[in-house]
Amino acid sequence: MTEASLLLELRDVSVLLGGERRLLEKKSAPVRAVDGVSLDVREGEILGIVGESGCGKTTLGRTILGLQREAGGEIRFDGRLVSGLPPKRACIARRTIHYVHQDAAAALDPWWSIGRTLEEALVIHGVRSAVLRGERVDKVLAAVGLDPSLRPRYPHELSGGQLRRVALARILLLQPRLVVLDEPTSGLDMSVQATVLNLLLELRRRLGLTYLFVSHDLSVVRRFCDRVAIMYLGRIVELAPSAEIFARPLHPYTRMLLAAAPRLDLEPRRVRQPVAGEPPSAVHLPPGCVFSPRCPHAEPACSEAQPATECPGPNHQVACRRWRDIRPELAGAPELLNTLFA
Amino acid sequence: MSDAILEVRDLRLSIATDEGVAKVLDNIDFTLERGHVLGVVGESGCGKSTIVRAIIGVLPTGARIGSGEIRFEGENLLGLGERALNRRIRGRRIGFIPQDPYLALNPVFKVGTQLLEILRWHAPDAADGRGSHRDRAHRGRIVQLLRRVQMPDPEAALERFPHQFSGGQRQRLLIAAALACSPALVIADEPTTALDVTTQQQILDLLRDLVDEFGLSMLFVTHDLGVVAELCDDLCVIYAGQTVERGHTAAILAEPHHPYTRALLACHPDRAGSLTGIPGMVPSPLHAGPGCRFAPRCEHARPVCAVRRPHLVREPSGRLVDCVLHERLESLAS
Repeated sequence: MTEASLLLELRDVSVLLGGERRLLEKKSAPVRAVDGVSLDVREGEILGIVGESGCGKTTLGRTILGLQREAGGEIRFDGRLVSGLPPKRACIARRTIHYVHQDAAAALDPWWSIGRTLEEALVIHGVRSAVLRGERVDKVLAAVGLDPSLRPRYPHELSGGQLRRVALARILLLQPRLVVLDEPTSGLDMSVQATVLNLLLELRRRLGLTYLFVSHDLSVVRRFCDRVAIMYLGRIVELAPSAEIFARPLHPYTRMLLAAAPRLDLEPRRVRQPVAGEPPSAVHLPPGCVFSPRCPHAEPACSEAQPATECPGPNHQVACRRWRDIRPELAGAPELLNTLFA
Repeated sequence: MSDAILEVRDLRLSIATDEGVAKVLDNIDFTLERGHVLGVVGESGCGKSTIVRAIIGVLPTGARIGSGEIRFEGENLLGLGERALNRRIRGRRIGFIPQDPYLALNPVFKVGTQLLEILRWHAPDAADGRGSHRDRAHRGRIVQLLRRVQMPDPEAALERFPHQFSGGQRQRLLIAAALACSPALVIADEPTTALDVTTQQQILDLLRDLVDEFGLSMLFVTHDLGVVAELCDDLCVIYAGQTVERGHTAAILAEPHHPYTRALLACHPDRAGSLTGIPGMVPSPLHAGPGCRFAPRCEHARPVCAVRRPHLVREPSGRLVDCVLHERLESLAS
């Protein structure tokens, strides 16, 4: 892939949440939900963003979309600066970035038929002719594998898998280039999840889409994504091609996450060192490296300054001071990992 | 058959709805050995939670048990009345860990009040003495339990409200609640779905330790095969209210025999091969025929599949498979 095909660039993006003064309440300090995130998304790739709840992955997705104003940093889409613009212009500049909600059932209006929901987007985007709108809706329904006869039906009449397809159809109507998928398979059964993932791959191939895949399901991410960014408390701690990050995780948090994920593999029950500590909240960020309070390799220096992002490989970034000292291979050596955590 | 603590035999259950009678459970059949963890796995709507509700006797209105029995420590629970269930079984001999730790605790009462209430209801005679003296003894037991489930500062935890705990800690509180009366059987209904993976691992490790330490038996209901692989000794796969395959977890995951189990495992992202999914939809329990409910989606289906349920085939390894294909294999072998 060439450098020229960068679709989205984030440079040092930070997002603050809350902090505004409400009636009769004291002004609270804002929460740094996303902190200094730099990220490139290449045209046509699937970039996974993985982390536990509260790590800021949804906020990051919303910021890229423009639903959330960034507090600092730069966002470039297709080579043009789209951050720091007034809302109206930002909206136009980000027109081809779209978002698929985590809970498809909640994202659809229960009082509106599927057909009406789908047509609304076209109305907003100025397609005047009802016949033309109808044609496009039918076409897009067929593209996501739904029967056009679903148009007069209401969301509660559809299954979870069908609702996801409707949610996808809704954004495909607007010919997106970048799609932010927020946990697109959470709450789906495995057999349905497989068909939805398959559909996403097929749509990418046919329509040349780029996906930002926000998820906490490591099994899915491993199968589905080209590159993976691991987030912890608003920061990206590691970023690498999917195969590499699962075979050779460098950051201690990535390792902890991978070791904790249930796997179907057939080796006897792994004897693992228990996960240490509770995920902290972004309200009280620890000083220095945010992972240091739970990190088995932390030394005093870790809590003094934020670690710089280093590049151990051409496509690999890790934000850890000590990655060189703690790098036994994970693949095929779980016992090594155990001694590591011991 | 060795020592079974819970046997569910040919359980059939239907629920009357506005649109007709839904045959929610049809031919559910499994055994939980003492000291084992049995995973009950199936997709949403297959009747997993209904099985749990049938065992503890809290069925929704309109539910009717058609046939079958649920034997717990040799006694048929379906023959017991509400009073006997409350006094002897629920909470006392069978503990329950619910799915959602955010919904299962009452937000307006202190955690200590809620945990002590369990003992007061289900095991008033678990401690000597009366009145406040007994309460103090109960309190001691709860503190001990909270310490065992690794709740930091258990004494102070009793004085706090549910919203002051994180999801993982709330699940620990509920595990302590389930264990409060030292039950023989613990039923866990998807206890980790609402949790992050690292917290999930902590809870799974804790459950495994508790099973080994107290000799508990556990019925673990889940849709997550990865979790099953980690925790469960035995596995029971359910499809649309019918048991399709039972056996040792490792054996089934290594080599599934029933076509549904095979298709389900092939959908798992950890398994190689293309992600195809299973064609077709889960049939509605309203229009269920007499045969195998997987037949319309099964690539090996024959005409006979729609007409009758297959005979249960017990393989030499102890695995049970409900499939016509295996019937044939067995008759060939004999």
